[in-house]
Amino acid sequence: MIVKFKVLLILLLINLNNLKAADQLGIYYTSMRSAQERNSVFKQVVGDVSEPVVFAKFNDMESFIKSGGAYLVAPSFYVNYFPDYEIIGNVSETKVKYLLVSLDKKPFKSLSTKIVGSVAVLDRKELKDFITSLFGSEPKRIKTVSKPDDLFNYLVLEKPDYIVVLEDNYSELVKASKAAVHVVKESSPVDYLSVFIKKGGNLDKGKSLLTKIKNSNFKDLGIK
Amino acid sequence: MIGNIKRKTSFILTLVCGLFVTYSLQADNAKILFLTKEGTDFDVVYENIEKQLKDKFEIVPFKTSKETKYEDFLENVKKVDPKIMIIMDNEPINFAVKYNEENSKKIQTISLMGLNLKKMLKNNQNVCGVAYEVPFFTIATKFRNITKSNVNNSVVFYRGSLFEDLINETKSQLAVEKIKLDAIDVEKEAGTSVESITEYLITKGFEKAQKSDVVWMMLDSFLLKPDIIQKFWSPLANEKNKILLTGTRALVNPKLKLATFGLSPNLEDMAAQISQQVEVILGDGDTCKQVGVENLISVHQYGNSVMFEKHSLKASTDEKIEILE
Repeated sequence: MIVKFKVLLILLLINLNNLKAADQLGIYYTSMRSAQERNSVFKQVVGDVSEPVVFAKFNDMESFIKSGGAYLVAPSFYVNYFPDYEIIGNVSETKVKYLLVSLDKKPFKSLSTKIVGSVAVLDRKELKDFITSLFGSEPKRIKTVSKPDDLFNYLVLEKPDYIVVLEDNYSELVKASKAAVHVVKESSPVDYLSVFIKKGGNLDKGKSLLTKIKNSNFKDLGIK
Repeated sequence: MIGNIKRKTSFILTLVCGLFVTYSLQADNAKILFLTKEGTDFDVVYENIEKQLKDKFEIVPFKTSKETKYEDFLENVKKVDPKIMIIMDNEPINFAVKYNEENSKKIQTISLMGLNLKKMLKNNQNVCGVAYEVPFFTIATKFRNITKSNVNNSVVFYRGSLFEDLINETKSQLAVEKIKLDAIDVEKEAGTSVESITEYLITKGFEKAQKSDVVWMMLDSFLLKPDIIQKFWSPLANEKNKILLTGTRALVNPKLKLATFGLSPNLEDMAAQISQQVEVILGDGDTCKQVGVENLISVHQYGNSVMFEKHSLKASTDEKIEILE
């Protein structure tokens, strides 16, 4: 009897959690600002429409997606990797570049023999695919850190051939460092952040979120 | 009645099929023998690694203790026949080193949460992992960024017999960030006895540290004996007003009035670093020889409120630091 009750309780909790995720806005993008700080700003902007949760790490965003989260603010390239979601609009019209950064000045040729460090913004296999699409060459090996703050640390301590850095993160990392780092290649400009909705979800609510987000100034949070 | 029997048979068949499919899936997954230890930090790391790898590999945990013998380890290896091992703490890591020396069939082993793994596993072809010590490079650069202090010259007192390689590696890392490290081998200067080294630190150490912006309080239990703390580290921090930086939260405790700033490993991220090594070996086909013992990358940051006030330091607001009161 007690076991049955416990099982029911667990099932109820799982369902409650999924119900909550089904109406929530999950936010993930690489930033030097803490997740708490960003969360309070998003709460002010969209709190009356949906409960926002800013995730510090991709793993947490991935769990949110797997649990059926209703809305996402995420890098636009997620559209290629999460087929259950569609873009309803971009957060801003500004496009961004990703940079290939090295401690070595040697000109860039190919990534085919190189170890490339990156923030884990996707699973390893998909990340390799994404980096290949950015720089037109497949890296030999991908190594990841969980947040951009650790990228320069990783570059100096483990000496990969390159690290991939979003240009906004790069300008902040450079400010905090005296290291002579070199940008050896820039990607073409790509869309930055989009608002996603789970396919078949509440489009009106999604559009309302998009409008509120587009009309707000997130410059201090590292969003142009 | 017959319908009932049919339903039951069908239920049992479904159950058996389900169990078979589950077993087959698990059987297809490579087995990982995971030697864990009792303790909160060990548990956090185990749980995170398990969470990250359980969908791809079959993890078989084996909790070790002081009483665990090499024979117990061997028995588990035979029983599990793992593709790879993950091992916590020095003594069990030694089991893997011994096993790979004695057996022609090698088992790639990823080690963690052991002391001085870089030295212990230097040139080891089959045992790799992540060092548990926070690199001074990270400590010095994080402190500089958080407090906006000048950190151009640093000093460390160390024992060459144990840490020569680490010091050389640290110097080259710091050079990238234009920070000099004056590294003083106390064994070379004063011999190997506690008495002679303590005497050296008291008579020469203060002067040697004087010109530096910060002092690296290295985590070597020999140099952190209570007598040396009382006669050297404490007066260095409190009377000579030097800023001590260290790689553990414990020494940042304001009651001790020792380290001004310290870092400790971010255990969740360390678990991710270990999981990645597993994937690089089992998924990408690299070997431990290629992976080596990596430096710890991700950290938590702590400031000592008493020492921050003493040195008129302020943490910049956008940095993620916990000031201990």
